[in-house]
Parts: sequence; C-alpha cells; structure tokens
Amino acid sequence: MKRGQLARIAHIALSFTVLVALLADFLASDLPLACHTHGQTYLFPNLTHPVTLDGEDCARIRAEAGPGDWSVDPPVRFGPRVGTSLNGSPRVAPPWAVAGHPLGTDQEGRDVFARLVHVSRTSLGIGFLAALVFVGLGAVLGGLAGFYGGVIDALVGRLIETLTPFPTLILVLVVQALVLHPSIETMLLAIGLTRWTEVARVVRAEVLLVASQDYALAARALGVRPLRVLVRHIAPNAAAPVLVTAAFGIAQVVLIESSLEFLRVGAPSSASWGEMLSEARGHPGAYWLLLFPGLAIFVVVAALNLIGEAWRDALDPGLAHAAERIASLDPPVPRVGD
Amino acid sequence: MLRLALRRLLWAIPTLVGISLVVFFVTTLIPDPAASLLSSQLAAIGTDKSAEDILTARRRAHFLDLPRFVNPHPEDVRSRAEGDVQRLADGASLPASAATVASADAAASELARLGGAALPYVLPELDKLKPGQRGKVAVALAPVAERMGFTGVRFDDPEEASRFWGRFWEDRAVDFTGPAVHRAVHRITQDQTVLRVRDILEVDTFALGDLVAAIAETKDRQTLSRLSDLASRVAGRHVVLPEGAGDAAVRRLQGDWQEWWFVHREDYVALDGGERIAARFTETRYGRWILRGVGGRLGVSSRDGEPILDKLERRAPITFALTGLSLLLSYAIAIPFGVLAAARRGQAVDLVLAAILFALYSLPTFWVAELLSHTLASPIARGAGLVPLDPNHAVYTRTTFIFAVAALSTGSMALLSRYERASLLDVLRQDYIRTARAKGVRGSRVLIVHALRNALMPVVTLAGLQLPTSFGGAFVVEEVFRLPGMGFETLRAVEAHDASWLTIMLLVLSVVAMVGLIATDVAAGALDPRVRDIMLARAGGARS
Repeated sequence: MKRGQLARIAHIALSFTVLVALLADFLASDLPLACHTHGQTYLFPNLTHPVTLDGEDCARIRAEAGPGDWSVDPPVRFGPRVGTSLNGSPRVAPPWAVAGHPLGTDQEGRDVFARLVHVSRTSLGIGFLAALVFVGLGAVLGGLAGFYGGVIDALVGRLIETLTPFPTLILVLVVQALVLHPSIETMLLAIGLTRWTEVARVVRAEVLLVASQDYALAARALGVRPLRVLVRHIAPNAAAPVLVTAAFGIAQVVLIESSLEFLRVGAPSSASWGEMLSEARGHPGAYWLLLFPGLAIFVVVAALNLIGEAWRDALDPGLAHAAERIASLDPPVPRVGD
Repeated sequence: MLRLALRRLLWAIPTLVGISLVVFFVTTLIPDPAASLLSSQLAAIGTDKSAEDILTARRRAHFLDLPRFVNPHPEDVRSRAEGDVQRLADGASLPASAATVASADAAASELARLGGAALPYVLPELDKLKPGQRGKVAVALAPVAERMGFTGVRFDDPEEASRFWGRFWEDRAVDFTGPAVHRAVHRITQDQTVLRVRDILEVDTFALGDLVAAIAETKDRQTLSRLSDLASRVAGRHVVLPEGAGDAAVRRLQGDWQEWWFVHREDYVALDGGERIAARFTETRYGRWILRGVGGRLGVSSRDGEPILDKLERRAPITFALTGLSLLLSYAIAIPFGVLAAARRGQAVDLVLAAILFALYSLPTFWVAELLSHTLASPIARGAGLVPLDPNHAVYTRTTFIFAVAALSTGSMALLSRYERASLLDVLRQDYIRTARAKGVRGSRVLIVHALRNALMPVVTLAGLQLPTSFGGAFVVEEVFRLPGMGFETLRAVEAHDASWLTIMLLVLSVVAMVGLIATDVAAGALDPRVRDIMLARAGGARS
C-alpha cells in the first residue's frame, strides 16, 4: 500500500469519527428523528427533548401510534444514558443478541453503540481543545524565544527543561485529585499547560531558521516593524510544522485522557471511552465491552499519528527518499543536537 | 567528557528548582480547609472552640498561615510572646470593647499554648508593666503554672499571680537555658524519677525541642512511651505508644513528633542572627515545603498516618523495577526488529513489521494490559500452570509481574523499533557505508558492525525521554495487574485526598526522570563527539 493511500484512509477515518461525534444524536437516540403522535408533530425531538415526550421512547411511540401517526427512528433506537430492562434476560448482552442493539448492551443494560457514539465527544473534544491550549501557548512562547533570544530564550529554555521530566499522565492525575472541583476544564488546562513544550521547541527552531532567511532580513532592512515580520513572514512558515506536532500531540492527549478515565481520575461528570473500558473490567467474559471502546481509541489515535506522519513527509520531501520510504511508517527521526 | 557531565549537572540545579516550583504550584491547588468549609460548619465553629483549633492545625500543617515566597516578618516565640503581652496590656488599659476583649482572650490562650518557651521573654518584662497590666498577664499564664504542677496558689488573683511569677523567675531563670534543659532531658532518658519529671515539667514547652530530639533517637519502647507522654502533656497533644506496638508504630510515633516539631518549632524557639535573616525565606510556604523535603522528612500520609518515606521504600522498588525492566525488554526486542526491518526494507517482512509496530504504537497501554490480564485469568492459562490473579489482590506473582512488564513494553518497543529502523536507514545512506560496501565488506557485516553502532546512538538516548511516559504507563499497568507499586498507592491516595503522598510522589518521579535525562545526555555526548560539541556550545548543555 502506498503511503498516500494510507494517509487518505487516515484522513477519512478521522473525519468519519468527528462526523459521528457531531451526529451522535442522529445515530443513536431514544427519541425519533421526527414523529407525529398524540396529535402533534415533532421535528428532531432527539435534539430538543421536548417536555411533552418525557418518558417516551421510540418503541413506545411506535406501539402507541394511532391512525395517522408516524415516526422516523434513528438507526439505533436507544440513548446513551437510559438502560433498557430486558425482561428476564441478563443485562449484559452480546452484539445482536437482543434486537436493536448492534454492539450489545453493558452492565446497566445501556446500548454500547449509543454510548460509544455519544461519548466520542468527550475524547475528541478534550483532544482538540487541549491542542488549542498547548499549540497557542507553545507558539507564543516558542515564537518569543526564537525571535527575541537572549533572556527570554533562556527563560523559555529553562521552562521547557523543567517540564520535560514530568510524566504528563501523573501530573494531570495529581492535579485532578487535588483541585476542589475536578472537571473537564481543569483537565484541559493541566494537559495544555504541560504539553506545550514540543510545540515551543518546533516553533523556536522554525523562527530561528526563517528569521535568518534573506526575505526576512530584507523585510527588516526595509524598516518593517519586528512584530510585523514575525506575523507576516515568520508565522506562515512556522505554521506547518506546528500542525504536524499538533497532530501527534492530539493523539497523545486522547491516550492520556482515556487512561485517566480508565483509572477513574478524569472528570467525574462526563463519560468517555476510557470509563467504558474501566466499567468493562467487572465483566471479563463480555468481550464486546472491552473490544469496541478500545477499537475506537485505536482508530482515532492511529489516524492522528498517520496524519501527522503524512503531513511531516509532505512538508519535507527531502525526508521521503523515494524507494526506501514507500510503505514505511517512519516516526519522526529525533534530530540530535537540534 | 567530564566537562560535559559537570556542566550538565550544574545546569540541573535551576531545573531542579524549576521542578520544585512546579510541584509547589500543584500543592497550592490543595483547597484551603477554611475555604472548603461549608457555611453551616462555619456557623458551628463560631460556638465550638475545638473545631476552630482543628482548622488552624490543619492550615498550619500545610503552612497555609505563611506567605508564599517571602516573609518580611517571620514570627517566632519571642515575637509572639511580646505581641501577646502587648495585646493583654492593651486589653487592661484601653477602654473595653468587644474587639479588645476578643484580642486579649486570643492572646491569653496563645500565651498559654506557648508556655514555658515564652517565659524568658515575658517574665523579665513583667516589672516594666503597670500593675493592672502585669496582673492581667500573670493571670493569663495560669494554665502554664497548672501544667507545671504548681498548686496552692490562687492564680485568678492578679496580685498573687504576679508575685508568684516574679518569684518563679528569680528562682528558676537559670533552668531556662539550653544546656540545663538538654541535661534534664538526657537524665530522663536514663531513668525516670519524680524529681526528674518535675525538672522537665517546670520548664514546660521550653524542653520540647530536646524532648522531640530524644524521641527521635530513642530505641527503647518504655523510654519512648514515657517521653511521648511527657511531651504530649507539655504540648497539649495526645500521642501515645500503644501497648505491644511494633516497629512500624514506633516509627510512626517518631515521625509524628518530628513532623509536629517541624511545623511548630517557631512557637517554641526564638530565631537569632543568621537564622532570623534566613527565616525571611524559610518561614514561607515554599521554604518550609522544601526544607521538609531536604530534611528527609517527607511528612506523613494523611490516609493511614504512615511516613511517606516508608511508603516510598515499599512502593518505589516495584514501580522502578517495572519501568526499568520494560525499557530493557523494549530495547532487547526493538533493536533486532529495527535492524530486520531496515535490512529488508520495502519487502514483505518490513511491511508486516511496520503494520504491527504501528498498531502497537497507537494502542493504549491500559487496553493491552487489560487484554493480557484477561489472558492470565483465562482457563487455558490456568491449565498451563500460570497462576491467575489473586482475587483479593493481596499478593502478586512472578507471572503477573512478567505480564505487566510485557504490557508496559508494547508502546515503547514499537516506538523504539520504528526509530531504530529510520535511524539505521539514515546511516545506511552515508558515504562511509558506501565505501565499506565498495571495499567488498559483506552486507550483514556492514549492517551490524558499521551501521548499527552509529544508528544505535540516537535510539539509546531516547530512553531518557521515554522514562516519564513509562512512569505514566506503569501506573496504569499496576492498577490493571494489581501490583502494589507507586501507582497502586497513588490511586488509593486519590480516593483519600492524601495530598502529601500525591505531591511527594510527583516530585520523586520527576526528579528521577530528570536524572535519567541527564544520564542519557551525558551518554550521548560520550558516544558521539559531534553531539558533545553541540551540547557544550549550548546554554544548559541539554540535548533538545
């Protein structure tokens, strides 16, 4: 398989996951997409959850349907929160054992597919939002360090040096344990504040490189203000490597977030793939509880890693020594002494 | 080489300070007990004195009563005692209002707590006060006299109390000196007689420093129990050695007293000269926190009262063995894999390896660990003689440990072999390899002898960067396999909000990781002169 094809698959997989997360309510919900019942027409009750439909679900609306009533159900007719009571049968059911549950149900009788789809927002959301924090912070600090040099550079260098030995997972765990109200926000901040070093390093190196190029020198010689040189000439060049680092970074954040949730030290308010896996530990025989959330994490992380590698190779064609690198899945080579 | 190592070590000092500042920042996230109290609890405190005391004690244990980094006016026993006397005197002379009465009451109770240690700063000043003020101070000292065992004096009578304290200081000022108290405490560790106990009781809290030092040194249970009882009486605490206590209980008792003394020392000891100047920085939250660590007293766990150091001694070997072995295993597998993939680049072996390694690289560690632990618990594994996980998780076996190492290794193994392959391919493009081939050196020899040595360097130095990640992975793996390491302890600490363990554990792991980074940097410099030159030219001498 060619490298380009792999990268394309990765892009598709990631877009697909994001789309699924966005459309979760349309894929799995206990209320129909649209229906006409008890003399009233509802459009997208799965999004709006009208009070008049409290306690109703797809099956009941269908069963109670009188003449002239109709409803359009989502593919999976169960929400992520409410478990269905399966009369007599065990609550943990394997895929397709109970009609309408394509990936089975968990220990509380909740639909695995519905949960999987809905909680994907947590992992992806934290991944992308944390990336915003650490890319922003890293770009600013790395940019300042590279552009102004001197004391600022030394300070940022010390800061990077200080944060590098910290195990992010454990640091975030401790922060979540100590703050009064652990939440997604504190987790985002803790991850963002510790993982910016990679971006800062990349940006600093890029700024140093670009600032010494002729066009940047020419701009300065023309009397362009330094800040403008930074924004107009240097930033666009530094953006691409930052994106590469961000892709790898998001993959790491997704792994860290799910590990934290697996250890039950993440945000207590939100469900996530890691938490699903953590709950699966109580049911060793139920492979589907372990398999699907794990697969979901894997797909997202693998796609992000592949995308990062593809972007990096696209940036630096010199690295892609044609014959040798076709189909090879090379990691970033550590640039010693850089 | 030596220059590089020295330079790197020297630059580690600011990094160390930085690490301590980061962890200190994390400790500031610990909610202030006062802030986390509910309003109903606060209302209860208004009437309940002991609740307020508990709150104050808890705040002091975290040094929340101190400023963060600089303390312009460090408090010691002298300043506290003089302030109390002043407030009592004000209470006697100023017109009585609710505020002055409350302030005088607080001063009286603090003076009673400071006790004998405050007397050298209070009693000589008594004569300089007006009679009314003198009586007020003398009455405030009544609980101290009672603690000392003086009876038969009516301490609630200002006249009589003043006379008593005047006489007391004339008679016993000589006892309130360091050497005298030191001798008294030494005598009581030898043998306990009523007279010797009186000697201690009559200097009250002035002897606490020596008492705590004696408690820390004493091995004999009986003496220890006596000393602890005596110190408890003087300090108004209740710390007893239970009957038939084991070594752990003895250490806990000693740790408890040392910790208490560390927090409260300045209530009983005056700061002089250099100590007074240093106190501007040491009498701060950050200063006390660092000093506690430097002194080897890492505090006690708020979960079960066990000294943190003991916990570390018990837990750390498992975590470090886990990470160390997994790194070794990763390299043992990754290097042959990397060489194989590079040698057969573009062929089926390379493709299959690349796919497998990429998959392993993207799998969450806990998921792999969970799968492996299921394997371990499966009937097949049991039939093969592998011991399943102990349902009570009390013991772990060699088998679970090996499985844990394997689970932890997957990620780093995949990462390292991919780096190794890439690094080897880079080296294989070098001119000297072409020269070797042109000379007619065999392909395998070129690969192993000429290329591998240079290709190993960047990969081996990755170990330092891999260490923090491995620590995180070890925590997850320990939880899955129920290995009683630092991660296991940490998750229990999270449930119990054991802040001391959490912060110390974070500090220890980051410092270990920092040492690992330095070691690999120095190793890289030693192996490759080019790297050494670059590192020596850079400020800080770190490989980026």
